[in-house]
Amino acid sequence: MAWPDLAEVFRSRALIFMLAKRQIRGRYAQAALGIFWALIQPVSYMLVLNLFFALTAHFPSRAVPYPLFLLSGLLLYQFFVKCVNEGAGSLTGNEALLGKIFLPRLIFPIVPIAVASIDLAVSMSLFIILYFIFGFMFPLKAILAIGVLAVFFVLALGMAILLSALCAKYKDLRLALPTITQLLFFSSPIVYDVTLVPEKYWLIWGLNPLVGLIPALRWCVFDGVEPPSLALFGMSVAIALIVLVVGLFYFHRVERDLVDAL
Amino acid sequence: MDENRAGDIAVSIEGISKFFPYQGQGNLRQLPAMFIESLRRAARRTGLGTKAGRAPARRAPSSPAGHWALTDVSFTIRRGEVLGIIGRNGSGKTTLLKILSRVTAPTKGRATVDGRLAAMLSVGTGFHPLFSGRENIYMSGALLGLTRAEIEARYDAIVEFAEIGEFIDEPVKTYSSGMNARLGYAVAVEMSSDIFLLDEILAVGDMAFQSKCLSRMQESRNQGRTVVLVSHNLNVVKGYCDRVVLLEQGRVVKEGEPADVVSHYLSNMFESGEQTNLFERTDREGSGLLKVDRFWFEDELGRTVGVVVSGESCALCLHFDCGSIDGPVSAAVVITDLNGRWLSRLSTSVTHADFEPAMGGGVIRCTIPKLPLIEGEYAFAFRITAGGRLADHLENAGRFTVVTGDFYGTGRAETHSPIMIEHNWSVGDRNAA
Repeated sequence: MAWPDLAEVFRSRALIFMLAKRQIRGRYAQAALGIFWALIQPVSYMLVLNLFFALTAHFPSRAVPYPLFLLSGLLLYQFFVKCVNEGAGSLTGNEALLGKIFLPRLIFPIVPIAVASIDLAVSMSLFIILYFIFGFMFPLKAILAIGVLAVFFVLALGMAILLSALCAKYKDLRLALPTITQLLFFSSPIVYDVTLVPEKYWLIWGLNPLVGLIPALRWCVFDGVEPPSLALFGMSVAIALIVLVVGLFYFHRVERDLVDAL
Repeated sequence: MDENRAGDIAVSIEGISKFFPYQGQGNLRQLPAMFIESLRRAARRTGLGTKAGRAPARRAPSSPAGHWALTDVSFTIRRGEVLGIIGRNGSGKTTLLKILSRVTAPTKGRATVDGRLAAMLSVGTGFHPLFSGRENIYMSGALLGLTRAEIEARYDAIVEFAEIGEFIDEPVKTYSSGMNARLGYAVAVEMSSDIFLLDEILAVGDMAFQSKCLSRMQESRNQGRTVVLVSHNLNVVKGYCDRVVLLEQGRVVKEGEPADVVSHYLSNMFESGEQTNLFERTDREGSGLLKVDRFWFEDELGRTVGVVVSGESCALCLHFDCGSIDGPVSAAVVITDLNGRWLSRLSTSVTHADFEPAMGGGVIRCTIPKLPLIEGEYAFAFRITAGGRLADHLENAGRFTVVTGDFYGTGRAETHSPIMIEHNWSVGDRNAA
């Protein structure tokens, strides 16, 4: 078992950047609202969910105003889903390029991460603006959010790499993904708080890696929120690392015969 | 080849074979089998379940479910030479180029490349229609692994070669297909490195641009670059290659002087003409009331041939299936060049040859008593109407090769324009007019 040539990928960073830029520009090139579309998805979700849950079940969101509570979860969830969906299709969708020119294949699942990061940055700036509008000030511990985001990136990257290779081999998986990500939405603490789920289920619940990460991020940026469960956070970190390592190994194993299988 | 010093070899290909397994249709019944197979493989890898200590052979394709695109191909390419690879469709030429460019890996054997090889196997790979020519040049350069400085150094040459002019800052989608092809070709030529791979790339552009490409190719060779050219255009192969390799069903059957190899290829084609199946083609139009399922060419004596001779009689035969048809059937064949440009249309309605086919099917034979095409590759399309309604229409239905003959009976062949017309010259006294 061998490890993919990561140095080669690092040398191709300019290409990754260009491919990401091209995808973003290509997507927004003829849209009048351009990059603002990156805002519309989280905002519309936030408004609809806020309205819905204000009218029906009222989930306690502790010291955090519910719109901000929602948005903080939505940002991460939507980033993750974009990475997973686009990453999963990154090999099958680039068949034309893969079959005509030799490139380090590993760059393909990395490009969507870069693209989703731009969207994340845009929606995050909206979050920060709302944050100040609601009269919050970042506490010192907010610096830890960088660490949580780093785990998020590792997780998203690992997922994109693993799924891209799996989807190239097992075409059914791509069709199953929308269902899986939808289930992920309801099983993650986005619209509700961690305390809603009894602690005895946490060992199973924590297999969803978002369960440890979203509350951790909320704790970083909001005062008066209960500290996140270290067990859940630890599980998320472990899952992120395992997925990345397994993803890299598996990717390398199928890479050789990949073009023929597309 | 014996006197080659080490270092004069740009590419050495040693015993390359390539196996393509047939791709399953993803049917549910295969799922358990797939699962068991992957378990078995995992067990074998960890040394469980099989005789321990056996060398873990690289998953040898033991099952017959697939085909060998290449079998034990070995040859070397010298530095600074133009090597041609010829062979029929499906003989493994493109697979070989894909292996050389590392796009796909050989099942067995290996290719060693000395020097930088970055190549596009078709023109315009990676072009984005919404972006300008300039942006696409930079993108292609990055795809080929060039740094920004390297791309900048080549930029002017590319724009000049492509004859794009001020359109370079317009989105590529506004380009004509010719401009698009020229830009793609310019990028492929100017950006590729020590070893340059070309797959049937000369099928693009007009005549003038093609000859420009060819002279650029020679220039590359003079600069010490190595060119590997896959082409159906035997004139080009004969005229520009230093050496030619002939592939047949994935094996090297001949290698050497271009003229020798090309004539070997052609004589082989004469003897082994075959019928080409069309029933798998799904890009057709029409009701399907009558359906052409295969075609072939016949010579004067009714033998199936692989090439036809300029100036001699030949027949294009279309075999069809049909149900019962009311009314007459009319058929038309359009002969085109490889760019799809119409050269001539032959139609039963013009020649009052509409027919009523027998129930079940038959063969439509279009005989050209004196083929007026010059040597080269051509394609054809057909369109068949039954009872006033379109029954079967297929663009680019097949290709055929015309070899030089003696159309004018003078022993000399026309080479400048594709079609020859029987004619006479006379010069009269100027007072008599």
